[in-house]
Amino acid sequence: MLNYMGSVITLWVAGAAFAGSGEGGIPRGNWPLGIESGPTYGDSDDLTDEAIALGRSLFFDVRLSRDSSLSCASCHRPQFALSDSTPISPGIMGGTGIRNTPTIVNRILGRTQFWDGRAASLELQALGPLFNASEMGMTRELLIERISQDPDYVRQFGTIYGSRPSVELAAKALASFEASLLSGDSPFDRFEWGGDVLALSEAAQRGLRLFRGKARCSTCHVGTNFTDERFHATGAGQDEGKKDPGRMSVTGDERDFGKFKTPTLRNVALSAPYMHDGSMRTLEEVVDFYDRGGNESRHLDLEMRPLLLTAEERKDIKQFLLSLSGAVVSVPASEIVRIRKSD
Amino acid sequence: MTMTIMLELLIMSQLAVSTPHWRPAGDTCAHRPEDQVASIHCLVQLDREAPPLPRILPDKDVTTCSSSLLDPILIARERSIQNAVVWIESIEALPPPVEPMKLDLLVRGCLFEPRVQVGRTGAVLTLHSEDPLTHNPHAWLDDSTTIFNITILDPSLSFKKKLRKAGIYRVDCDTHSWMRAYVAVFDHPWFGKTDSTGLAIINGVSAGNHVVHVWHEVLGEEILNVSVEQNTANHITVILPLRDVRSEKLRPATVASWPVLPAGESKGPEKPK
Repeated sequence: MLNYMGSVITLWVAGAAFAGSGEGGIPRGNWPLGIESGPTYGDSDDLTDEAIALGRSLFFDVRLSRDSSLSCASCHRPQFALSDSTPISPGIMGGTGIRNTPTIVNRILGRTQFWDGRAASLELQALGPLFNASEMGMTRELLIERISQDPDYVRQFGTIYGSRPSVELAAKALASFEASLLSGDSPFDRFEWGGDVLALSEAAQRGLRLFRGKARCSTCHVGTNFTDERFHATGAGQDEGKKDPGRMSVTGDERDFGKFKTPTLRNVALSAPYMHDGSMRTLEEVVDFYDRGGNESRHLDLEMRPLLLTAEERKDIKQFLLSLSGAVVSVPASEIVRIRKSD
Repeated sequence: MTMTIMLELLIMSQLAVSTPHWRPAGDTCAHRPEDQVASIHCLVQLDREAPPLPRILPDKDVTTCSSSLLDPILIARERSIQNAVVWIESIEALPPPVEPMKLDLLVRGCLFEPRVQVGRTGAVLTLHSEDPLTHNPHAWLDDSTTIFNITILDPSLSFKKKLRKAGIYRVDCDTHSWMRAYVAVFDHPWFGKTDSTGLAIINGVSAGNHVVHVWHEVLGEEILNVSVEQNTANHITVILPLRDVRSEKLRPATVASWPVLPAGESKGPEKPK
């Protein structure tokens, strides 16, 4: 049973919203323009449309929280590109998480999940908030009980996985849905991949050049998903006595203190506030932060340095960032396979 | 019988612009199997001693990328130029070979290897890295359209990309602005790349008049008319003037300035000593 269906997620319909040739007659599959094909880090070799549909149902189901008040979509909200609009999302019964909700779009292109990369797979990521007492507060037993009470779910688990509901299969279904969520076809993509020189404003084009040049954004925000999937210490959130260890909490390596995974910049216009702690409310704050070289941090990334951007340049960069907004779509399993195998 | 042709490039370039594409009379296709007995041996030389290569000034990942890299934009030995692409202008596009060519582009020490390579349409380019850091090979065609944009996180990954369209692909790294590679792709088999001796050999050329292109990433492109004699190796020597035709974009701040005049300001070839 679905309690909520996000209106922003477009359900991909056979017939291909994005089919046809890309620029230069290069055949592309039916996935958003700008998503590069090639090996993906997502797992779930047995990805199917049925699993994606089941995962979607679970994703929006508030019964997957202890007090039946929250679903995954309560924090990964479609209207905010599957992120949230608050610095730290509230959990059940007054609880809160510890970090800003990251988007789960294009995560099939990702290497690890969460700001600290503690989940090596989308399945592990899906289970994290479910069993976090401050977030959704479930237990393994309660999760199975809730799912099993719904005959539709029981039937779907049986059909798809040949089994009764289990925690692992629920995670697999959720991961299938998350893997299907892609975003591209932004004005930037149409400019760069589609050859549409009018798709980007002059200011955004200047911003793009700055992004790859003087502003050094492409040091970390690279590739079609604008992230190197690595961990860096920029000093964000370190200026108010906060001591979030970041990646160090996973590796135990003191040199990883304060390092967080580079997030995607796709749909960044929708995912404010920014940084792992949601401490920056606007893109202007973010650009200013990098312009001054970040904050002091125990292991500040060597690539952080003052950029000496002019006011006009900062505005141009913002215009470019705004051009990275594209619809979020849920693509069929067959297209994910093609993304992985296509050349 | 061999023939060596010394060409006055400024005059010939002017003629080539207005000269029609020649092909043997009666041919509907540029070449027939029974005609494929001639070859063009094209020696590409510089009109003077090549200047030293500019030094790369890495502004990122200096620990891995080193601070003593040279930018291999013009490799020349005793004036013979390596990495010039030579091809015959073909009237019609031929289908890709059944077995696609395999090309390889490696990142090592924050440079692409090879700098320049050539292939047929349908070639599969494998990209991989030996560097323990992120590289972002970004391929362009016609300087404006992205063909692929790949993030190579570490040496464990490789990517295969099929080059379906003819043209000269430029591959940059969005993270390291000095990195550059070129892949010239053709829809016919009459092309080559000069080796360390400055020589490119094109086999299977039919007798008659052909338009030959010589391209170099920095020196630009020259077009010349060549008359090919049957059943022999046709030797031509092309002397390119020292100049820098690159746009400002391709001369990033991470590479020291090169003491060569931009295109259009060349003072002409030096007389051979």
